[in-house]
Amino acid sequence: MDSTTKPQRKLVETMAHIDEQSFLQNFTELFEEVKEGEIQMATPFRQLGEWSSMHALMVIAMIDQEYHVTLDANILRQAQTVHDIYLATLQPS
Amino acid sequence: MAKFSLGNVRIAGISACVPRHSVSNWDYDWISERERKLLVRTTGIQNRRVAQAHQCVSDLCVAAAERLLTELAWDKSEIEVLILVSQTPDHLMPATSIMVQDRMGLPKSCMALDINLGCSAYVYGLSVISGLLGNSGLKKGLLLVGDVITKTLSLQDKSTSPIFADAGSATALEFAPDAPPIHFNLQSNGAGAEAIMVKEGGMRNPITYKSLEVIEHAPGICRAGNQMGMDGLQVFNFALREVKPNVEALLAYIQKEKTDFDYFVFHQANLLLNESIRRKLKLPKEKVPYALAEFGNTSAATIPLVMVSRLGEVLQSRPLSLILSGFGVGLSWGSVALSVDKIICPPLIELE
Repeated sequence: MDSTTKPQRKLVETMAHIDEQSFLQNFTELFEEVKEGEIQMATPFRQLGEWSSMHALMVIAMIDQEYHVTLDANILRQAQTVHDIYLATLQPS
Repeated sequence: MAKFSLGNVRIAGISACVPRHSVSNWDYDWISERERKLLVRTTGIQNRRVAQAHQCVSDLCVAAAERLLTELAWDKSEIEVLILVSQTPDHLMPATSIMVQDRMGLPKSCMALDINLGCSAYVYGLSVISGLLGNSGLKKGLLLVGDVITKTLSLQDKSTSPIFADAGSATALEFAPDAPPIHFNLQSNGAGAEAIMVKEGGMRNPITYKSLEVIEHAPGICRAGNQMGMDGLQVFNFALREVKPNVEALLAYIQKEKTDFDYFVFHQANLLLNESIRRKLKLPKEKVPYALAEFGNTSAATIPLVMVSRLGEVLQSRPLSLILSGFGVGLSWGSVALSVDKIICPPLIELE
């Protein structure tokens, strides 16, 4: 993972800024049963009891609408944490 | 890009037919109650019409066509072109349209052919039959578009079974030298062929005993090799990327604005995807009709089914400018801009 996250981190500094808190809030709003603060950037979202394949589509739709980025299906498949998705949104393929 | 305009042809009428048998997604107990609620909320699909064993795409389309010809008072002997667009033909061979020619009592002087397309079927079908009627000297034609896609599905595949449903349609077109041109923007990308595919049962992977073995591809996604599989994530991503620029390129090509059109009828994939596309195109809700809640995703038939079930009355009562846009299996997608002037549109038919 290190070899792939390093160049992404570097890019973050030059890319348009996306507020982490509002990203986290938009992500959390896709779920009905999670408590406030339960989802953090480091949360492995697939382990959430409520996560389903439908949520993957909802994540793509939310990011498309809010950030005008259409996430690649494979990038989302590989993502483990909310932060992985956040980075992919900053640096779309 | 395949952008082009076809003249000398008008749509005279449209009809559609669904099986009477209705299935509710609230009864889809292959998934948990929580998943079921989420499924209905995000896809917008409550009920689906499912063809019974004796019902094929020809039955649905012929019922629609017979009713339409009666309402139009067209003589069957005048029909010179019959095109059927479907991915679920009655037989692997011969083409379903040819059997329909005989069954409907159309003359032997009628040319008949099948085209294999799904979600983009209606838009592509219109382009082929309009090109023929506008330039060949042929005067009247029938475009039959439909699918009985549920026959290819596994009930134990949550990514397809609660989404898809069955329907057929018939559109009557005729040579009309004073008709306004119909404009198309048609695209393809075979790199995404596997996103929606029936892998076995064709000539590449002929059916064997192993084809019938049900395999678990992911939790809740179990199907056999001869049943349709769909990579929902990939299809979703494709449609979000491609539909908006396709529609916008069509508008630019004909130098029209979105406000010049009364309705935008999209292929009915699922509510989350369709609403995302609607918002991206900044279209008002009242210009984008849906039939998802009642009929689900009927593959090839979605666009004519929305026109008949949601726009039937306005189609009959006043002139309309429409954008129709289909996208999916292939991958194949395209949009058409057309004007219709008080066309014949009988009420939706239900087939026992």
